[in-house]
Amino acid sequence: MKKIVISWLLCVLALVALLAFAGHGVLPQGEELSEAQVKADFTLATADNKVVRSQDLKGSYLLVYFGFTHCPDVCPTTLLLMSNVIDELGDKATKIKPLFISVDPERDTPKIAAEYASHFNKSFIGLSGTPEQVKHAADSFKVYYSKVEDKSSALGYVVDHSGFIYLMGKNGEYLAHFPANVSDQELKQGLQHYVK
Amino acid sequence: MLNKTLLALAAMLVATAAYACGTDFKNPTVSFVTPSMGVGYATITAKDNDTLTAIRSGCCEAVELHTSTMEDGVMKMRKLDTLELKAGKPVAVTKAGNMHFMLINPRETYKPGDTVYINFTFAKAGEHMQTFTVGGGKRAKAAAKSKGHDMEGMDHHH
Repeated sequence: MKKIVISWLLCVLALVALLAFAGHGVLPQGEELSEAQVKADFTLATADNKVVRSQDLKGSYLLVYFGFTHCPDVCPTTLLLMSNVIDELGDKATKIKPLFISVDPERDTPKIAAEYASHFNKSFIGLSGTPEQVKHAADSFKVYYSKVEDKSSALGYVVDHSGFIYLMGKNGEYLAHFPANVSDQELKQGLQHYVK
Repeated sequence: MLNKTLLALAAMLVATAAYACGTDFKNPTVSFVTPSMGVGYATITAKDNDTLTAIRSGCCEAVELHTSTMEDGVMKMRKLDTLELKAGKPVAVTKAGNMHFMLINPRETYKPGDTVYINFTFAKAGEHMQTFTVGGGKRAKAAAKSKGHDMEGMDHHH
């Protein structure tokens, strides 16, 4: 009996340790983000409606940000940050594919998303798709987004969305995530650490 | 009689302009993020307690005041219909102040160095026409840094 209790306690302690030290983030609903939940799984499109599937990008690290082109402040700031850090990485930058995925498929066609992203950095790939494709992509990254109607605004609506930058490994596995207001230095250090 | 009327009208106009000029805009800048949207910033100080009630500009379909916040990891943007100003206290419509002006659907393509005119209506101070200088913006900075790619020649689409 004593051995069973001790074994059970050891299992609980091991689980607590795993959760404490595993990479995690907080989803907007308060749900903890764990390595096991996030994965790169999408079929989207870029300029000229060229299909881009996550499985086609295996072999590269993915640096992913979800936003929308009618976001005038945070999204450009984050993409500029990513651009600056990518440009400072040297040879490791060639191993990374930076992606901008729009959570506003109604307004952001693949062409618009691609053009928007490429103006921050020529290496950026801007992606969009059908609402279902975007939802599937967002779900795979555990990204929260929500269209908020505002008829009093000429925009018609805005899109609330998670503010994280995701780093995915060469097989689409989760490596790390960073808040959108991460410093240049912290993001650079993170990429230098994970990108081999 | 007509001269006196005209004089009175002129005096009223001058007085109104003088009163409205009591509203100060520091560092007014705009940049166009895409052909269909720009962002503007300024720090506003009113002479007396006042309320910003309307924004108009011939530059764009609409100019609106928005908040930009992060709540529980979620980025949110919301339109503000009014902005309260306390006498002498600067209000930062800036990134640090979590606010910005949205310039929606510009009617022409603006370049860095151009001037945009935006009219603000205050409950007490009345009308205030403010010039905003078009800056390079974040995309232009990124493009300039990224070896010679520039903002010219972008497709104009809405």
